[in-house]
Amino acid sequence: MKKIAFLIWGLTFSLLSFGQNAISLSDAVKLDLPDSMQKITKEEALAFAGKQFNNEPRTMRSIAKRRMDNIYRVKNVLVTLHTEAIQPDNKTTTEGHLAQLKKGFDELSYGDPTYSSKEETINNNSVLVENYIVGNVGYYRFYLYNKNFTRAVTGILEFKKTDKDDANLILNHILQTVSLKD
Amino acid sequence: MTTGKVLYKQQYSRSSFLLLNDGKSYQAYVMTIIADSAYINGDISKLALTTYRKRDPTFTGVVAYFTPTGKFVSSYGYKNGTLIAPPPSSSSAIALAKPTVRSSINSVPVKIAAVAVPECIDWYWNTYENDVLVSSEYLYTTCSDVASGGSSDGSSSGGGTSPAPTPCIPPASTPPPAEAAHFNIAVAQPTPTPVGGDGDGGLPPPAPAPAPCPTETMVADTIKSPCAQVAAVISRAANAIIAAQNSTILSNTTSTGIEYGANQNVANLTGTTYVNTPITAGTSSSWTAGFTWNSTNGYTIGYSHGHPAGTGPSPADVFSLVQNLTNTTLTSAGNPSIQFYENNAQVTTETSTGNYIITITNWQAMQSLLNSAFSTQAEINTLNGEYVDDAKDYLSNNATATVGDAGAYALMTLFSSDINIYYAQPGSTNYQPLIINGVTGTDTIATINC
Repeated sequence: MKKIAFLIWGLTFSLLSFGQNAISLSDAVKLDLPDSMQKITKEEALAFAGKQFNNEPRTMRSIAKRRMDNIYRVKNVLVTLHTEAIQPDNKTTTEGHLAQLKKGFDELSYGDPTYSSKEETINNNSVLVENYIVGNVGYYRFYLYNKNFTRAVTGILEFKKTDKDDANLILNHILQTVSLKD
Repeated sequence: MTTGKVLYKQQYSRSSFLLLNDGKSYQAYVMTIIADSAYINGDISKLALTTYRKRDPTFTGVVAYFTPTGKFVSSYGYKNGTLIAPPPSSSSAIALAKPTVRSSINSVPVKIAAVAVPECIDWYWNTYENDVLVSSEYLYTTCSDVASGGSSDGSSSGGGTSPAPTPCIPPASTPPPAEAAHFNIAVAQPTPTPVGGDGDGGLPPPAPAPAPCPTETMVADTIKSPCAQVAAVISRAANAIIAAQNSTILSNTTSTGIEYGANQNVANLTGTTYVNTPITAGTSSSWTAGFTWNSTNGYTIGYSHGHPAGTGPSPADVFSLVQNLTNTTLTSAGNPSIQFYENNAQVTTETSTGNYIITITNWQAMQSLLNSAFSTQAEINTLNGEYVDDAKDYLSNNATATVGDAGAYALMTLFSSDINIYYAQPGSTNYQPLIINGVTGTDTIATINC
């Protein structure tokens, strides 16, 4: 009984210590990022990526062209988030959308041995997660839709290959804590 | 004395057709962006980072505006993203050097020749037609920075800004330029709002308050504008043989998960009678095109093929057209055949969410890109990687987009105005040109109603 109580306390403590930074991407979309999170500018993101990722050309090129509304540094992981509301008259973004995306991504990454993708449901949200490596940079990209496909959150996590465990924890934390109104 | 220096390489240039609305009327310009070699540094895709609406904060090079008939309007030079100030006046000491120009390759759009003086160089935009100089426009002057050891090396000195000449509005009745052209320019940016300034928000407008153009003989441009081509694109798609082939290709592709495709062959070089070429199967990720150029099997001017995973047209699809220009079957047939091919070549990509047709508007640029960025396996991997990055970034920014549209966006980003892309819903032949709307990072593709 004491062991169980200790485990519950430990789990609660770890969740509290990891999820104290509520981020509002919009009035309808909220999520948590770990304590160490730091919102950064485009220049800071480029400087961080240049140093952390050894100026990996494709990564630098992608960041230079990226929408910069919500970019965070969490430990040594660059986290880019985006949200949008899906118009009611949108007939294509429905339950089959993620399966179609997965099919397309799998084809685009054909022959890349580092690539994998997974479609799953987390807290009633439909999620597609990609994982792959470009040069020395690891990537997680996720595409998350609420149950009724009225809102979406997408994200890009970029990290050194050696920081994959940290990135994986951050990704799971985001996917578990994201909250989208209908 | 002539320095003999060429400041910018032709393959580092991109031209776009601008339609600017000042609230009263539209003015048309051709905007040519030429990047410095050092800025490009082997990454030709950096050309796409600077558009009329958005400028790469590190851009080094020059942007020049012309009327659609080729008349020089103005130019602006940038070094490391900073606008280079124009010379104080045409009577200043630096403008006294007498220009001597250097020949450029036949029908190559532009090269900029230079004149040396001890401290300063005047840069000119020289235009040649069949090796004959037809115009020379003063662009700007760069002067050596004595303290830093000089900056007159044309390969890295960056651009400058011309004293703004008075621009003009071309007459509304100006006919489309002749085909035997000088520039190959396409892709309209519909009614962009001039942003200008020296932030990183875009490029300065061509010039304020344009006046009517004087009538004069100018070098002709080839403006293969998306709307000018759309009727021919629709006509071919609606051809009974092509439409039947496309229907079968899409059906076979979606039902089997394998790419199917067929050549688009015309029976002769004078009409639009199509040969009913065989539909063949490829693999899950590729289909191998054929090529014939004879009266028996027909003259291959394009391909139709399906993408079972719904992905959009790929770089390989585009380069399949370009590679044919070095096919000896075509080259041995002579220039009229090559010209016919260039005027009619297109590739169709069919998916369950829509169909895409690509035409080439700047064959020279695409051939150059094929040779410099899509020849070795390493180059192919790099370009394909950038294509995938652009497509995924588009989907990260547009959560409701299809992978087909993401691929089309990626190609437009990579190849800019050197290609046109048309889109039609599945089963439809009502193709419409695609354009990119908005600034980088928040941009989306959309169709134009021609």
